[in-house]
Amino acid sequence: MTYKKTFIKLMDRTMLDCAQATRLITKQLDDRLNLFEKARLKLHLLNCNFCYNFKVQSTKIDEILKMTPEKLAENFNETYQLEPGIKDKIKNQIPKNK
Amino acid sequence: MAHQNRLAPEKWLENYADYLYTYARLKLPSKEAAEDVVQETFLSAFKSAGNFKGNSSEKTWLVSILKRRIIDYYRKEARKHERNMTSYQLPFYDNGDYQNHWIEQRAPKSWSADEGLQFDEFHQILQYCLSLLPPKHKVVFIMKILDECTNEEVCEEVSISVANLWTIMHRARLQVRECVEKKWL
Repeated sequence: MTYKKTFIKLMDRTMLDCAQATRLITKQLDDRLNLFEKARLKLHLLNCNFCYNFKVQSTKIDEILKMTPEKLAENFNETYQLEPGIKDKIKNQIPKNK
Repeated sequence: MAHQNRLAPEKWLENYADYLYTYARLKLPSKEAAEDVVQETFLSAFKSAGNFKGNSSEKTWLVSILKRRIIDYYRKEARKHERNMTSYQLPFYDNGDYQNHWIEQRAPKSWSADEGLQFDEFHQILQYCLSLLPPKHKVVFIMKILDECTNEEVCEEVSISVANLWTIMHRARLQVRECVEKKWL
Protein backbone atom coordinates (compact mmCIF):
# COMPACT_ATOMS: atom_id res chain seq x y z
CA MET A 1 0.00 0.00 0.00
CA THR A 2 2.58 2.53 1.04
CA TYR A 3 4.90 1.22 -1.69
CA LYS A 4 2.22 1.89 -4.25
CA LYS A 5 1.62 5.36 -2.91
CA THR A 6 5.30 6.16 -2.89
CA PHE A 7 5.63 4.82 -6.42
CA ILE A 8 2.80 6.98 -7.71
CA LYS A 9 4.21 10.00 -5.95
CA LEU A 10 7.60 9.33 -7.49
CA MET A 11 6.15 8.92 -10.97
CA ASP A 12 4.22 12.14 -10.54
CA ARG A 13 7.39 13.95 -9.70
CA THR A 14 9.21 12.45 -12.67
CA MET A 15 6.50 12.85 -15.29
CA LEU A 16 6.39 16.20 -17.01
CA ASP A 17 3.19 17.86 -18.06
CA CYS A 18 3.04 19.41 -21.55
CA ALA A 19 3.71 22.94 -20.32
CA GLN A 20 6.91 21.75 -18.64
CA ALA A 21 7.87 19.56 -21.61
CA THR A 22 7.56 22.40 -24.13
CA ARG A 23 9.54 24.60 -21.78
CA LEU A 24 12.35 22.06 -21.77
CA ILE A 25 12.19 21.77 -25.57
CA THR A 26 12.63 25.54 -25.73
CA LYS A 27 15.51 25.36 -23.32
CA GLN A 28 17.10 22.66 -25.45
CA LEU A 29 16.94 24.93 -28.49
CA ASP A 30 18.17 28.05 -26.71
CA ASP A 31 20.57 26.66 -24.19
CA ARG A 32 21.12 23.09 -23.08
CA LEU A 33 19.55 20.45 -20.86
CA ASN A 34 21.19 18.46 -18.12
CA LEU A 35 21.04 14.66 -18.18
CA PHE A 36 18.07 14.46 -15.84
CA GLU A 37 16.05 16.95 -17.90
CA LYS A 38 16.95 15.09 -21.08
CA ALA A 39 15.73 11.80 -19.66
CA ARG A 40 12.47 13.28 -18.41
CA LEU A 41 11.81 14.95 -21.72
CA LYS A 42 12.53 11.77 -23.66
CA LEU A 43 10.09 9.85 -21.51
CA HIS A 44 7.40 12.47 -22.06
CA LEU A 45 7.95 12.58 -25.82
CA LEU A 46 7.49 8.81 -26.07
CA ASN A 47 3.98 9.27 -24.77
CA CYS A 48 2.93 12.59 -26.21
CA ASN A 49 2.51 13.17 -29.94
CA PHE A 50 1.56 16.80 -29.48
CA CYS A 51 4.80 17.66 -27.76
CA TYR A 52 6.71 15.54 -30.24
CA ASN A 53 5.18 17.60 -33.08
CA PHE A 54 6.00 20.76 -31.18
CA LYS A 55 9.61 19.70 -30.97
CA VAL A 56 9.96 18.77 -34.66
CA GLN A 57 8.25 21.94 -35.86
CA SER A 58 10.01 24.30 -33.49
CA THR A 59 13.34 22.82 -34.50
CA LYS A 60 12.49 23.44 -38.15
CA ILE A 61 11.42 27.01 -37.42
CA ASP A 62 14.64 27.54 -35.52
CA GLU A 63 16.64 26.26 -38.46
CA ILE A 64 14.98 28.73 -40.84
CA LEU A 65 15.41 31.60 -38.37
CA LYS A 66 19.09 30.81 -37.97
CA MET A 67 19.65 30.33 -41.70
CA THR A 68 22.93 31.78 -42.93
CA PRO A 69 23.60 33.06 -46.47
CA GLU A 70 25.83 29.99 -47.01
CA LYS A 71 23.03 27.56 -46.19
CA LEU A 72 20.52 29.55 -48.20
CA ALA A 73 22.71 29.26 -51.28
CA GLU A 74 23.43 25.60 -50.65
CA ASN A 75 19.92 24.39 -49.83
CA PHE A 76 17.72 26.74 -51.82
CA ASN A 77 20.08 28.07 -54.42
CA GLU A 78 19.21 31.62 -53.49
CA THR A 79 21.07 34.85 -52.78
CA TYR A 80 19.93 38.41 -52.52
CA GLN A 81 21.78 41.24 -54.20
CA LEU A 82 22.08 44.71 -52.84
CA GLU A 83 20.88 47.27 -55.38
CA PRO A 84 23.70 49.04 -57.26
CA GLY A 85 22.31 52.43 -56.22
CA ILE A 86 22.81 51.58 -52.58
CA LYS A 87 26.24 50.16 -53.19
CA ASP A 88 27.20 53.48 -54.79
CA LYS A 89 25.90 55.36 -51.79
CA ILE A 90 28.09 53.27 -49.53
CA LYS A 91 31.06 53.62 -51.87
CA ASN A 92 30.91 57.38 -51.46
CA GLN A 93 31.38 56.95 -47.73
CA ILE A 94 34.62 54.99 -47.97
CA PRO A 95 37.26 57.00 -46.13
CA LYS A 96 39.91 58.40 -48.44
CA ASN A 97 43.45 57.18 -47.94
CA LYS A 98 45.58 59.78 -46.32
CA MET B 1 52.81 39.96 -39.39
CA ALA B 2 50.96 43.00 -38.14
CA HIS B 3 50.05 43.85 -41.71
CA GLN B 4 48.60 40.50 -42.52
CA ASN B 5 45.19 41.30 -41.09
CA ARG B 6 45.11 44.88 -42.20
CA LEU B 7 41.75 45.96 -43.40
CA ALA B 8 40.99 47.12 -46.87
CA PRO B 9 37.75 49.13 -46.74
CA GLU B 10 37.69 49.45 -50.54
CA LYS B 11 37.45 45.67 -50.80
CA TRP B 12 34.70 45.21 -48.24
CA LEU B 13 31.94 46.43 -50.46
CA GLU B 14 32.97 44.23 -53.35
CA ASN B 15 33.46 41.15 -51.20
CA TYR B 16 30.79 41.33 -48.57
CA ALA B 17 27.95 43.67 -49.59
CA ASP B 18 25.73 40.95 -51.04
CA TYR B 19 26.63 38.56 -48.27
CA LEU B 20 25.71 41.04 -45.53
CA TYR B 21 22.59 42.04 -47.41
CA THR B 22 21.45 38.42 -47.72
CA TYR B 23 22.11 37.94 -44.03
CA ALA B 24 20.03 41.03 -43.23
CA ARG B 25 17.18 39.94 -45.49
CA LEU B 26 17.05 36.64 -43.63
CA LYS B 27 16.67 38.33 -40.26
CA LEU B 28 14.59 41.42 -41.03
CA PRO B 29 10.99 41.86 -42.11
CA SER B 30 11.55 44.01 -45.21
CA LYS B 31 13.89 44.81 -48.06
CA GLU B 32 14.04 48.44 -46.93
CA ALA B 33 15.00 47.52 -43.38
CA ALA B 34 17.76 45.25 -44.71
CA GLU B 35 19.11 47.99 -47.00
CA ASP B 36 19.23 50.48 -44.13
CA VAL B 37 20.93 48.08 -41.79
CA VAL B 38 23.59 47.15 -44.35
CA GLN B 39 24.37 50.81 -45.01
CA GLU B 40 24.67 51.49 -41.29
CA THR B 41 26.92 48.47 -40.94
CA PHE B 42 29.37 49.72 -43.54
CA LEU B 43 29.42 53.25 -42.15
CA SER B 44 30.05 51.93 -38.68
CA ALA B 45 32.77 49.60 -39.99
CA PHE B 46 34.51 52.45 -41.84
CA LYS B 47 34.49 54.49 -38.65
CA SER B 48 35.73 51.79 -36.35
CA ALA B 49 38.22 50.06 -38.64
CA GLY B 50 40.90 51.10 -36.17
CA ASN B 51 39.34 48.98 -33.43
CA PHE B 52 39.56 45.79 -35.40
CA LYS B 53 41.93 43.46 -33.59
CA GLY B 54 42.62 41.13 -36.46
CA ASN B 55 41.95 38.06 -34.35
CA SER B 56 38.84 37.21 -36.32
CA SER B 57 38.32 37.40 -40.06
CA GLU B 58 37.03 40.59 -41.66
CA LYS B 59 33.86 38.78 -42.55
CA THR B 60 33.22 37.65 -38.98
CA TRP B 61 33.89 41.15 -37.77
CA LEU B 62 31.49 42.70 -40.27
CA VAL B 63 28.80 40.13 -39.47
CA SER B 64 29.06 40.92 -35.78
CA ILE B 65 28.58 44.63 -36.50
CA LEU B 66 25.61 43.71 -38.67
CA LYS B 67 24.08 41.60 -35.90
CA ARG B 68 24.30 44.51 -33.46
CA ARG B 69 22.60 46.72 -36.02
CA ILE B 70 19.82 44.18 -36.49
CA ILE B 71 19.28 44.08 -32.73
CA ASP B 72 19.20 47.89 -32.75
CA TYR B 73 16.52 47.80 -35.40
CA TYR B 74 14.24 45.64 -33.25
CA ARG B 75 15.09 47.68 -30.18
CA LYS B 76 13.93 50.86 -31.92
CA GLU B 77 10.81 49.12 -33.18
CA ALA B 78 10.03 47.98 -29.65
CA ARG B 79 10.30 51.53 -28.38
CA LYS B 80 7.95 52.76 -31.08
CA HIS B 81 5.31 50.17 -30.26
CA GLU B 82 5.77 49.98 -26.53
CA ARG B 83 2.09 50.13 -25.75
CA ASN B 84 1.00 47.83 -28.49
CA MET B 85 0.97 44.61 -26.44
CA THR B 86 -1.12 41.78 -27.80
CA SER B 87 -1.68 39.18 -25.14
CA TYR B 88 -1.22 35.56 -26.04
CA GLN B 89 -3.06 32.87 -24.12
CA LEU B 90 -0.97 29.76 -23.62
CA PRO B 91 -2.39 26.72 -25.45
CA PHE B 92 -2.69 24.69 -22.23
CA TYR B 93 -5.64 24.18 -19.89
CA ASP B 94 -5.07 26.41 -16.92
CA ASN B 95 -7.11 24.37 -14.43
CA GLY B 96 -8.95 21.10 -13.91
CA ASP B 97 -7.79 17.53 -14.47
CA TYR B 98 -5.98 18.47 -17.66
CA GLN B 99 -4.19 21.46 -16.25
CA ASN B 100 -1.00 22.16 -18.22
CA HIS B 101 -1.94 19.75 -20.99
CA TRP B 102 -2.64 20.90 -24.53
CA ILE B 103 -6.05 22.27 -25.40
CA GLU B 104 -6.80 19.80 -28.22
CA GLN B 105 -7.93 22.34 -30.82
CA ARG B 106 -4.71 24.27 -30.40
CA ALA B 107 -2.30 21.37 -30.02
CA PRO B 108 0.37 20.88 -32.71
CA LYS B 109 -1.01 18.96 -35.66
CA SER B 110 1.18 16.61 -37.58
CA TRP B 111 2.92 18.46 -40.41
CA SER B 112 6.39 18.98 -41.63
CA ALA B 113 7.86 21.96 -43.38
CA ASP B 114 10.16 19.75 -45.43
CA GLU B 115 7.62 18.61 -47.96
CA GLY B 116 7.99 20.89 -50.95
CA LEU B 117 9.25 23.70 -48.82
CA GLN B 118 9.18 26.99 -50.66
CA PHE B 119 11.74 28.96 -48.78
CA ASP B 120 10.35 32.38 -49.62
CA GLU B 121 6.85 31.46 -48.63
CA PHE B 122 7.83 29.87 -45.35
CA HIS B 123 10.16 32.71 -44.54
CA GLN B 124 7.45 35.27 -45.19
CA ILE B 125 5.05 33.42 -42.93
CA LEU B 126 7.71 33.33 -40.24
CA GLN B 127 8.41 37.04 -40.50
CA TYR B 128 4.69 37.72 -40.27
CA CYS B 129 4.37 35.53 -37.18
CA LEU B 130 7.37 37.21 -35.55
CA SER B 131 5.72 40.57 -36.13
CA LEU B 132 2.84 39.46 -33.88
CA LEU B 133 5.08 38.92 -30.85
CA PRO B 134 4.96 41.61 -28.18
CA PRO B 135 7.81 44.03 -29.08
CA LYS B 136 9.89 43.34 -25.99
CA HIS B 137 9.60 39.59 -26.52
CA LYS B 138 10.65 40.08 -30.10
CA VAL B 139 13.87 41.79 -29.04
CA VAL B 140 14.65 38.93 -26.66
CA PHE B 141 13.80 36.35 -29.30
CA ILE B 142 15.98 37.96 -31.96
CA MET B 143 18.90 38.39 -29.59
CA LYS B 144 18.78 34.69 -28.75
CA ILE B 145 18.39 33.68 -32.40
CA LEU B 146 21.35 35.80 -33.50
CA ASP B 147 23.36 34.29 -30.67
CA GLU B 148 25.49 37.39 -30.42
CA CYS B 149 24.85 38.24 -26.76
CA THR B 150 25.09 36.26 -23.56
CA ASN B 151 21.94 35.47 -21.58
CA GLU B 152 22.96 38.13 -19.07
CA GLU B 153 23.28 40.75 -21.80
CA VAL B 154 19.85 39.85 -23.15
CA CYS B 155 18.37 40.10 -19.66
CA GLU B 156 20.01 43.42 -19.01
CA GLU B 157 18.71 44.82 -22.28
CA VAL B 158 15.08 44.31 -21.31
CA SER B 159 15.57 44.30 -17.51
CA ILE B 160 14.43 40.77 -16.78
CA SER B 161 15.84 37.83 -14.81
CA VAL B 162 17.28 34.73 -16.47
CA ALA B 163 14.29 32.67 -15.30
CA ASN B 164 12.08 35.23 -16.99
CA LEU B 165 14.15 34.94 -20.16
CA TRP B 166 13.19 31.26 -20.51
CA THR B 167 9.55 32.08 -19.83
CA ILE B 168 9.59 34.65 -22.62
CA MET B 169 11.34 32.27 -25.04
CA HIS B 170 8.86 29.53 -24.15
CA ARG B 171 5.86 31.76 -24.81
CA ALA B 172 7.41 33.16 -27.98
CA ARG B 173 8.14 29.72 -29.41
CA LEU B 174 4.63 28.50 -28.60
CA GLN B 175 3.13 31.57 -30.22
CA VAL B 176 5.31 31.48 -33.33
CA ARG B 177 4.74 27.77 -33.92
CA GLU B 178 0.98 28.09 -33.54
CA CYS B 179 0.90 31.03 -35.92
CA VAL B 180 3.02 29.25 -38.53
CA GLU B 181 0.75 26.21 -38.36
CA LYS B 182 -2.35 28.35 -38.95
CA LYS B 183 -0.77 30.06 -41.95
CA TRP B 184 1.04 27.07 -43.37
CA LEU B 185 -1.67 24.40 -43.34
